Amino acid sequence: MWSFIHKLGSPPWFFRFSGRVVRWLLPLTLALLVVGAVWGLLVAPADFRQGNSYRIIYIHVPSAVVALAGYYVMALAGAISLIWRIKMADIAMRAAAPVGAALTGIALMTGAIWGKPTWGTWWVWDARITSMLILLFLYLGVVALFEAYDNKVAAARACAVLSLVGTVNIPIIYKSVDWWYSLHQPASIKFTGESAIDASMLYPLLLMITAFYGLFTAAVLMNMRSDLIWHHREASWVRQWAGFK
Amino acid sequence: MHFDSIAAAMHMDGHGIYVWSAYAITLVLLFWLLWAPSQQLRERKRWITAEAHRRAASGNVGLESVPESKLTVAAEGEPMESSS
Repeated sequence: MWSFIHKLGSPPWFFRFSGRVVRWLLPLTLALLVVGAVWGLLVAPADFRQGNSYRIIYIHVPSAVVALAGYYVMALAGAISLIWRIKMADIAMRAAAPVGAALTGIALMTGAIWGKPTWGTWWVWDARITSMLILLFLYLGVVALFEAYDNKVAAARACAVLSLVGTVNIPIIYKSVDWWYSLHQPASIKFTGESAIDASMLYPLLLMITAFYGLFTAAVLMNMRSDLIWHHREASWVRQWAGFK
Repeated sequence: MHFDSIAAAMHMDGHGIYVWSAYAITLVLLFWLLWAPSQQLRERKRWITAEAHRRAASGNVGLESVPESKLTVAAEGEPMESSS
């Protein structure tokens, strides 16, 4: 276990390992996405109240769930980078930011599109949507902050602090539908007690959530690999990989 | 299958435009999410190989003698990185 964690810090080992993971994970994830999307779009029954517009749930909920979980991954990597000054954690933090931003963007846009036929409006400034918008700005803030500094060591530290401070927002997003009056419906899937969603609709949703987790992992690993190569472009293992003997 | 025909699946009782456009936007963003890093990795690989060949040609394989400023010069549309 410890030797595995130790190896994770080694750039050449991590580069090879992540390459193998992505090669398996990516086709598996894409297959899950296709199956989940077809199931949700064409096979699952229509909702008795919302009709077919509810089918947006199969991309809206997975992207939102993974965007939130991804923030914890980014903040945790930021904390490790800040405390132990581990370069790999810093690279992981930066790799997660654009992926999280894209997923938050998907959640917000699909939510707006779903809102129009369901609530009669594209946008309301309620607690859940506003806190999700803040999440988007936090992700984009980490990307922008890193670019703003010339000194990349200081940049990484500033990004880590920003991502850690931003974790305050995550429980607020989770609880926003319970704490404030909102158009947004409360959670349909519960780990304890019965879920408020029928199995015929639940299974494709769980499939899509799994697929989005796989997609997040693959995209973050791919970003990390690109960053690692650039960071170590003077190292002999990188030049060997690039085909230069 | 919930729908009787392709037309019914496209129309979705009037909700088709919302549902399909949401899926289309998601598809585009997810594609970008995976395409961008793989494209960047390919470009960087090309740059590293070209740079190594250039140095080998000029007899300067070792990197110690190359000034830091030279190492950060971007080539072939590669994004500039001022330090690393």
